[in-house]
Amino acid sequence: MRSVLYLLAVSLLFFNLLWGPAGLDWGVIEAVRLPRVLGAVLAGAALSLAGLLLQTALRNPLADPYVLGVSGVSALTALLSYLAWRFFHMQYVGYLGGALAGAAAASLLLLTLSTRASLYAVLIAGVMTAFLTSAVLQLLLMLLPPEELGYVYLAMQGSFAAYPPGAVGYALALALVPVVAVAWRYSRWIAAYAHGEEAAAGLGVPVRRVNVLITALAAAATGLAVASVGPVGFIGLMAPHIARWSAGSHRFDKLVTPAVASGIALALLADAVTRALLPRDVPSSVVMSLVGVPFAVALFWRYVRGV
Amino acid sequence: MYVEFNVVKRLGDFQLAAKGRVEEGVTCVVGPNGSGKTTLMKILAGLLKPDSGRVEYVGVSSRVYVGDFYTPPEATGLDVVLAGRTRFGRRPVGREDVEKAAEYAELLEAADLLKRRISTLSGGQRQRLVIAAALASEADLLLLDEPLSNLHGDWRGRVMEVLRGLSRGRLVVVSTHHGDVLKCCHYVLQMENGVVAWLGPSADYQPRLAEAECGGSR
Repeated sequence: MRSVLYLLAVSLLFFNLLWGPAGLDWGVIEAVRLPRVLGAVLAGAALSLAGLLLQTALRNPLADPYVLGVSGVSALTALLSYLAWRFFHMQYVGYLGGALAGAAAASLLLLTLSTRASLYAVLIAGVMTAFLTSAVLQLLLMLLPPEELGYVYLAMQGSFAAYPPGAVGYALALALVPVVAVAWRYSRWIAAYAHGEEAAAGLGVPVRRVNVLITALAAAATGLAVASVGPVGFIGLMAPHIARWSAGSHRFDKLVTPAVASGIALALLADAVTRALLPRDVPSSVVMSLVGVPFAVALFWRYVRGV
Repeated sequence: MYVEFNVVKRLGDFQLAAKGRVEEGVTCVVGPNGSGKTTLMKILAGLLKPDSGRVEYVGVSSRVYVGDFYTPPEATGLDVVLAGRTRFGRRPVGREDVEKAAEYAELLEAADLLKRRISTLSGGQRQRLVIAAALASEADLLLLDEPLSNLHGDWRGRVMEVLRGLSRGRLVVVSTHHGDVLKCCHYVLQMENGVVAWLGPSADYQPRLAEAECGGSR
């Protein structure tokens, strides 16, 4: 089952890059399709990893990267930077600039908290932040004139097409590599959390330090994803489960690669469907659930029958 | 090879003030509930810091404590035993880890449980897997907190025999409420009200473990 997932991810990668109205024109590939594909790959890999980290560390199959609040703060600061330009004629740093600043700030706050308090406390703080930023965001949107509101609202939906092209895009994608590498390196320690934090400590895991590490990795991955493509749902929650079903295991150290692969496969699938069937400006996050749910159901069916 | 301790720890109303020494071999830790067995073991494991005093480890380079060990229902027996080897976690799970896991599971007659899901196993079977996990750690100092609680008399004896066999060049500390296993230990450490009430070779120990009494009324 795992190999099916890897095969799907790789074939979708090539398909999304090489298929399109302009055919195999390298200029078009680089300028139009590559950023979208990179966006899908980055968001898929990052959100899935973050989801897996949180579900493992919190021993909660419903944990999702958005409970960290990083996404909420990031969207809020992105909107604030737009409003600052719109109403106060400040320099516009773009969605990416505003979002990255917010993601970084939120991550730092979570990190600081994780050095002083339990993971549970970090989770609650993240959830409260998510609620708060969501409410403030809605209020701020009401400041906009109605004719602009629709456009801005749509622009704030996650979309792989919004991924920054060129060097910035490559840099962001590269920044995820050390995050995945570190998660993989410490995966056996993180896997021990499945037995309880106290059990993990008894087995030799330096739990206080690894809590900080887990927070840092999850926040960094989520931040990179939401800053570059905006909020995309479903992957963070479901890709880890899809990984479990296809790997036939619940152990973290066996799931890192399958989770990254399933996140990438889901994202690329959604992007392919968007490009093939829908008008160009439908945000990917909208399609994500429509595509993701049947995919997940099909895999879950096979898993349940096999267990 | 030994661990010498002289520690004080306050937890709420309870105070532990324990002094003693754990030698090579199997030490049974006994005492009433709340007497400080777990507290002492956690301090020796390095999981709790004493408020004052110190623990001296001589010839002990690794320590593992296994107490409340949640076994996820979807995990396999192998997953649980491999967890015991977490301290080797800097390397990905390799063939050696799996072989050692099988070896220690075999010692506890749990080799056929490795492929099964925890949800399909009885409490005693899960407990044997957890003990196998602890053994698979191959730590110099092994602290097992009430590992025999779910096990039938026959099994208690067999597990203690395995522990005895593996205790050469190792310090194995086992806490228990069962008096019948004391003869399987080399030493007995009795805790009472947070102090070490007795410590010495098990052959010299006069068991003072309380027996349950039910009232006469129906």
